[in-house]
Amino acid sequence: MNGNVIEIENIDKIFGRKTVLKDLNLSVPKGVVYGLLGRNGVGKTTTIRILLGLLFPDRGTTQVFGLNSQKHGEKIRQTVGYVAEGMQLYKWMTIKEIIWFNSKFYKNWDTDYAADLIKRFDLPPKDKIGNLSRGMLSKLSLTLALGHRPELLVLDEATAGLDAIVRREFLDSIVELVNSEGHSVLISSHLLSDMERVVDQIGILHDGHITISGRLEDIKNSYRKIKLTFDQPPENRFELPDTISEEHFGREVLITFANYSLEKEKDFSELGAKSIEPIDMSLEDLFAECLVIPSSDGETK
Amino acid sequence: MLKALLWKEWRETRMFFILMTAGVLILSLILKAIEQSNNILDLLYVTTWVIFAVLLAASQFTVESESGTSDFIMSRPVHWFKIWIIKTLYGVSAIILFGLYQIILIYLLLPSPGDLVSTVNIFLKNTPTSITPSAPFIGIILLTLILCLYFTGCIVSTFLKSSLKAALVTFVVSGFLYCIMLSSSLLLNYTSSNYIFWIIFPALFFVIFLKHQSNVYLKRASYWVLSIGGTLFWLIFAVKGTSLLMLKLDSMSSWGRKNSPFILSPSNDLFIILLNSFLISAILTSIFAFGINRKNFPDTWKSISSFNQLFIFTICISAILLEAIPAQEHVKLSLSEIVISKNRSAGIPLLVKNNPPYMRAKVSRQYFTVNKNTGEVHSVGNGKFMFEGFRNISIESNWAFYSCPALRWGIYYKWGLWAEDLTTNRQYLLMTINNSPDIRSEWFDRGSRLIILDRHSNKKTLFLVKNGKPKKIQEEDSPGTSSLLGIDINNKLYFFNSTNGIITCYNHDLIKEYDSYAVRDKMMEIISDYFQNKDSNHNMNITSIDFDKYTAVGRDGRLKSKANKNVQYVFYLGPEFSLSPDGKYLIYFLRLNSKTSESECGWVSLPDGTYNKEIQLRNVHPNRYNWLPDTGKVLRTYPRENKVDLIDLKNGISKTIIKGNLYKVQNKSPIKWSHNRKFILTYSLSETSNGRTVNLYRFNSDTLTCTLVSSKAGFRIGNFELGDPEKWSQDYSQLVFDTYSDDIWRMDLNKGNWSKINTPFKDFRLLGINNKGEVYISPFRETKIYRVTETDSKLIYER
Repeated sequence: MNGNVIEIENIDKIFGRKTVLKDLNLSVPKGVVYGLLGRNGVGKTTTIRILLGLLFPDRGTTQVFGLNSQKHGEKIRQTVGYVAEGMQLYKWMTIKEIIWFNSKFYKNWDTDYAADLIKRFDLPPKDKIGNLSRGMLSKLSLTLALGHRPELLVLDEATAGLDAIVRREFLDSIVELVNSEGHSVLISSHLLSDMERVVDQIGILHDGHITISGRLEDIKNSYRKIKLTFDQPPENRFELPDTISEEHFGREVLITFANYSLEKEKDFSELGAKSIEPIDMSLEDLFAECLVIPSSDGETK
Repeated sequence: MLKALLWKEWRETRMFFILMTAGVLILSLILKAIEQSNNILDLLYVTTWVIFAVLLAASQFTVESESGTSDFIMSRPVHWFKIWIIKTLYGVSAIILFGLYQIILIYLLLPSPGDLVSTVNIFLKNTPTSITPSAPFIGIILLTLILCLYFTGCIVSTFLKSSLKAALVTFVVSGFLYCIMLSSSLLLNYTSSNYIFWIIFPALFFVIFLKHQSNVYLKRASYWVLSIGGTLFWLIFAVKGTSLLMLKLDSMSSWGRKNSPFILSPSNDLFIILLNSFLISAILTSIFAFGINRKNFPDTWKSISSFNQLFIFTICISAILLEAIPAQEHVKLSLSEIVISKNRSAGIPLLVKNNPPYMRAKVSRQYFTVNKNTGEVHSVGNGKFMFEGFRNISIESNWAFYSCPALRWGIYYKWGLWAEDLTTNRQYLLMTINNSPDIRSEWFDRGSRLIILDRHSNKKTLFLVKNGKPKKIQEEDSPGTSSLLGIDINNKLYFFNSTNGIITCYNHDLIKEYDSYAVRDKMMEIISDYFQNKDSNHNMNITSIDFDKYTAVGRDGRLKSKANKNVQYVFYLGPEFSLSPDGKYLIYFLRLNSKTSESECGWVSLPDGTYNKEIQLRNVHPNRYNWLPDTGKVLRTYPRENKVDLIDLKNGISKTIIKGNLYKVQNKSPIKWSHNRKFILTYSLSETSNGRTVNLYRFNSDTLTCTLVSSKAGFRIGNFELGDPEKWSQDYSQLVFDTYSDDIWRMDLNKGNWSKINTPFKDFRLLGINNKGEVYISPFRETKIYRVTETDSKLIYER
């Protein structure tokens, strides 16, 4: 297992004529909260479904806890807690009934722990699911996913549709549980501000494969946006090494670098920049910048 | 886990199950209360079972998609196969439970299970038989089809997200599958390209049009139109096809396949199997392909769908093989021995289309008949043909009549009279009868009309057979008890009302024309005359005569004296009226004194009632009067005087044409006409042995004389009541006699010689003889037919 909870190697997945995943590689170490980022429809859910053995890749292999997803989907799901956006629960069941129903699928279901979670989340056991608010539904889903004390929690856009307060509450619950239980977590979301608060590592999925992957702090440190001011508007683009994007606004030029270091500031002086101003990048900025692909003629698109 | 899944299935469908069963029960009771015809109840039970199966199947997976719970259930740590098997087990169990409930309803509430097709006009056309909800039908045929429907519904429900849409699409798709399953039947029996077209059309249209249609209103409208159309066609095909399957499996006694009604050639079988397999594969692949490319369509869902396809495929292939294998076995029979004509097989239930190899035949058990025209032998049916427990079967012309109690559970005591067209093997319910049937039926107008007289209720019913289908056109219910005297050559019917003693003439449409003759008055006049002239001791003034309720033949009458003293007096009327072929004369015999056998034979002219009693008889018991084609002449036999007289009614002159002792048979004429009226056959006491003597005369209609052709003594004829011991060949060149021993005597009428045919059996029935002199016999208690000659004996048919 080489310390990784999840190992994805060179997988392809094609739906009809559309290639959704292409030569995707991904590793998630044990005990981390990993954020799988990407635009809508980029293949995050497909990746997670493949990991859980619900979909089969057209090429490549996936492993969860060293188990092949295609062969051992059932075993993997025994040790994984899974909450997905739009995963509806049976509205005619009561909370108590769905807890009982769900418990029958898991060998290691911890009834006391599930009861404790219900109590902690303040969920009324006799209420029908159809009558619950979205926040309560999210908490119930989380309870169902955690009741068997999974070693890996997979959240697929689990906070989508929740308001900011409920989202924060939900994520705080996850952080708390991870800290106390030592779970690994794979979170897929496009709500980057939320992700930034909880994830340790991120992987950005774009065009069917991971374009950027690593610890969030390292990535944030290595990617830097610099604002350069000149006396006269520059006539040509600079096209410096490791440039991700370069935008000209009259005398001002914004350049985003990967692998930024202080040595680059010498280059800026040589170019005639009067002032050099680093701009802090949030995860959202980083996400947006990284998905801007440089074209062959140097223009951004 | 399994328990939890089962619990979930039950909780999700329990209301549907309860509402459906309660609905059927309530509807049944309402229909029963308002005495709706049985076919509505029949239809209700069949269709509700079908609808239940489809709705259940359609909701099996769509309910997860509709509510969005499919992601939840499939992401639990459970293999998709377990989910599939639980859903399927639950669905199949629910269907069987619902079916059992229906069976109970059928037997408790239905007055006459089994006449769905026979009584529903829409299904009558081209439907060869009725579907009887007997155990094999419900347990095997309908359940198989419903399971096929169920699995089809399951496939559809994995691809669609709406239960309603899934149900409607299921009807269309399964209707198509059903057609494929039964394509052999369709191709070879009642194929209509229109039917096939109208099934394929909506199916293809549905797939192509709806897939690419973006206009939501058009989409919805087409869903409804096509699905309702598909449903309708499915139902028609279900009934028609099920009827055919029922017919097939019913004849497969204990799944024995030798008597399948489907006779195909090997090449046809192969073609049909390949065609069916191809079509089934094509349709299933299309369904699969329709959904397989949907984005994120779960592989587990595809697997479930594949499993359902596998089951459907198994059912379809089984059905095809069930049909093809028995057909293959049938090919081993020598069909040339059985099938005799291209289009018609008088007296035989054969369906022949385009000659062999496109040929099929319904071969039944136990009962055999001989084609009067060709002398060929065929089977016609048996006690368990389609109606369990029917009491009576009779064969007239090309039709067989079955009467049977309609209900086995005794709540109702209705009887049904079914007619089967033996040339097409189609059956029709002519009427239901409330009491014990006492039915007499008669064909006339060259077999296009059928008059049925229920002598118990005195109801006369006239059927017109149009396009091979009997249709009731007239019903007459007159007071009193009638019997049919006869039908003349102008298709007029004469009924004798024994209550008022009047003969009434009806035209061929059963419209009353006139009361022709008051028999009672005439009887009273004759008897009064007799007493006044011959028996002055009584000197009675007869005021009334009570005829027998049913017939006027040979029963007591009662006389009342002037002093109001009842005097029992026996007179005989008959043995029966004899109506001349043109309906102008009526002959009857009246025995006036049972002690002295003083009798009077009179003939009356109809309709004016002119009575002529110039022919006076004494001390004789006349038998049947045999009219000659010339209606002015009649043959009359006098067994005691051992002679046959020819009487010219115009002048009353009689002439003896045959002399010799005649074998007396009660209520039967001792002479037998050949059908062509050229030969007269008599049986007489043999002077040389204990047996009988057979005398064959050739009748010359020009000279009105009889010439003895041949006479042979020593026949053991047996009891005439059991049937005629002689059989004629079609061309009247051969005559054969059953001697009730292990041998048969055959006579060549052209040569006048006799030959003895030894058979390997002691107990057999003589079925007939063909023009070549080959004799057909059937050993008792064996469903075999042998063709025997003086030198050879060959088994030509064996069940």
